[in-house]
Amino acid sequence: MLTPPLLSVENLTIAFPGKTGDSIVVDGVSFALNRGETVGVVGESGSGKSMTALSILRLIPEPGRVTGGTIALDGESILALTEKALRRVRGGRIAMIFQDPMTSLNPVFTIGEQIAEAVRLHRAEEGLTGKAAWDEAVNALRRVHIAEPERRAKQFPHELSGGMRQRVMIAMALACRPDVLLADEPTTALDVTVQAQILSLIRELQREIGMAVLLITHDLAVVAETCDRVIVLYAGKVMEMADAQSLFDDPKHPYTQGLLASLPENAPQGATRLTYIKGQPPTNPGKITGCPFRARCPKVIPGVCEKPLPTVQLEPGRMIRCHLFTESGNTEASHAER
Amino acid sequence: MLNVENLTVHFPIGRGLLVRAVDGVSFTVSKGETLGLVGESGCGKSTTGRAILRLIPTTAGSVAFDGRDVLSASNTELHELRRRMQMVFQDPFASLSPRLTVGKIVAEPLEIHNVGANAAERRDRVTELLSAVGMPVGAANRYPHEFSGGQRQRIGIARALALNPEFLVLDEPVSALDISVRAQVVNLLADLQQQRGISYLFIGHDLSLIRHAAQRVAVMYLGRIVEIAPAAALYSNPRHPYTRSLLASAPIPDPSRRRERAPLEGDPPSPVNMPSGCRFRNRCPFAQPVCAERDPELIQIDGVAGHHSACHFARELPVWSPLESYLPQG
Ligand SMILES: Nc1ncnc2c1ncn2[C@@H]1O[C@H](COP(=O)(O)OP(=O)(O)OP(=O)(O)O)[C@@H](O)[C@H]1O
Ligand SMILES: Nc1ncnc2c1ncn2[C@@H]1O[C@H](COP(=O)(O)OP(=O)(O)OP(=O)(O)O)[C@@H](O)[C@H]1O
Ligand code: SF4
Ligand SMILES: [Mg+2]
Ligand SMILES: [Mg+2]
Repeated sequence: MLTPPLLSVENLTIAFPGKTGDSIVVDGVSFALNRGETVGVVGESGSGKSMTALSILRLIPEPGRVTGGTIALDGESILALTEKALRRVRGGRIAMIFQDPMTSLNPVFTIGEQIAEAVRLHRAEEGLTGKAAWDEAVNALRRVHIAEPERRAKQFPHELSGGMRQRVMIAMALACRPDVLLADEPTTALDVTVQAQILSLIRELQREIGMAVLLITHDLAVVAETCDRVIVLYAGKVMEMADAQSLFDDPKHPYTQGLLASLPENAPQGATRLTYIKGQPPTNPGKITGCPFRARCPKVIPGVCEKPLPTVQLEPGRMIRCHLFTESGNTEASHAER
Repeated sequence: MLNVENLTVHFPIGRGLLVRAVDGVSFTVSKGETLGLVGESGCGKSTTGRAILRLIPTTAGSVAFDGRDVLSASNTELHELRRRMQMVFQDPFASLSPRLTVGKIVAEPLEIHNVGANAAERRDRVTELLSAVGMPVGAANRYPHEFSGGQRQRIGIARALALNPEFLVLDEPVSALDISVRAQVVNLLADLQQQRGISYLFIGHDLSLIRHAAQRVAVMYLGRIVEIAPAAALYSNPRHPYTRSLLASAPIPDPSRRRERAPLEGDPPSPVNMPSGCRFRNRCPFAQPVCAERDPELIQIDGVAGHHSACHFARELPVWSPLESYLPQG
């Protein structure tokens, strides 16, 4: 009775060719997304979160390439779809809220036209064509709490504030009632009251149509409030995967621990400076054998962490990639403590 | 250092209609101080920042920087002022020229203002700036599109710091950054402030970060400042219903404290069609008939110097308890 996940990503690798060889920005990422669930993706800026999401719609910018792995929607390979079939999936079964609303909205069309066009393309069979599609676009704007949606629908992207553009993107993505929503920093540009409204709108749609959400965000509080499970990326690799509660209660990976410690909420009482992870992420993580975090890791075990990263299943649903959790790492670590 | 008085920016949008984006905003920022600016998306925060630097025309009001009138400054004066006042833009994607290398982007203000004896000196300065914001070595020779959102934001910060400004408008400077880099950048800004006495107008949505980074915080709603106070007072004893909604809506980084929030009801009115009286009244749980009749002025809250709220009942609001506005889940 094993049903395949709605979306599954296996061993995904993405590279950008360059003068000095390929730079690998996503390296062997695997995860599954089930109907109705919300999975958070957090991690260092530049760790490959957006590229992972973009690859699911085959939208990696040139000259980037998927160089390995599989992506399947309901068991069907997305990487093998024809261009035509792909266009049906994009914005239809899988919708994306892009990190940069300004570059993904067309400056020469009003926002209402842009949403209506998406509705016509994907929901024509429901009779949403012509004027009906326009009305649906206005409704979509109303649902993301844009005041005076009729007037706003006739405006161009540059006439809106940053947060309004963001909401237009969200309205467009949700207007097509997708099975999978890839949301890349969907609420970063929004104030917390609108953020709360949008997140509850997303939850509502999840209950209604069983939409699955991949939520990329730097906002750990949003993750804590909305995600069932969390994936922690570092330098293109999944470092830790756990249910949200366990991750916040007991982060296991030194990188995850460093991330949580950086929260202003977790700063020592009265501290004037915030904690942060010292050092820089590697420029070309693909070139590094062993743990890509080791140069910054406070718990590094010399002689061990240079070895290929292990994948350790701590308990069902809890995965970690760190030498501290292997046989040899354990012994070395306890030696070091003595 | 900076004195903003009755700043007003209206955008004409045809048929005689006006968007009252900023509608009579006044505040000061002292030397070496950070004023946080928070509020509803679209309430006029970025417009306020841009108007102060005279990047857009102002409808009314005055801006004085170090005793000099910014809004009526001549072009030469403005050139000089621009060197001392800089802005980090909200949108890291739109604000960096795609044709220039990162090194050129950061060097540009140095060239415009003739800083640095020669190209080599400027290059050193660029390298120093990029490493200060935590960009990888070699970034200077690459183009903005080769970087992630957060990395581009740091390029914008490096550029704004290039001329050693005395006043910086930071428009959501760290929203696109992961929390570790965010912490690092906030520490960097604090260090610069300590060393050089820079003042910041720090626009943001992350309330816990603003609490940490700012000495005073102003809350905007629909083109107006509705509350302004020292950070500690604002967060522990908010005296405007909108500020309370904001604080109550902020998510908490702990799944066990996950709650269904009592949402702020209704939608903000349009900045074209302002309601009579208080602008928050159609969403305010405390609204009374007087709120529709009279536009509330900022009034002083007893006991805390510099704490002002524009609510008719600012002094009468019940004691603030953040937990009351949460409903337990399930
Ligand atoms: N055109 C390109 N050429 C070379 N490298 C690129 C290009 N575009 C992106 N990259 C690199 O790919 C890596 C992953 O980028 P991605 O946008 O996925 O990061 P991210 O995790 O979404 O970061 P952020 O949180 O800052 O948005 C980055 O290190 C970036 O420098
Ligand atoms: N060029 C313009 N023409 C017409 N209206 C404009 C223009 N620029 C901004 N506005 C309007 O002015 C208001 C304030 O916009 P502003 O960008 O200052 O908001 P903000 O507080 O920075 O919001 P956010 O948090 O979403 O960035 C909005 O209603 C916006 O639509
Ligand atoms: S003045 Fe009235 S409407 Fe405005 S915030 Fe206060 S109580 Fe609410
Ligand atoms: Mg990204
Ligand atoms: Mg703004």
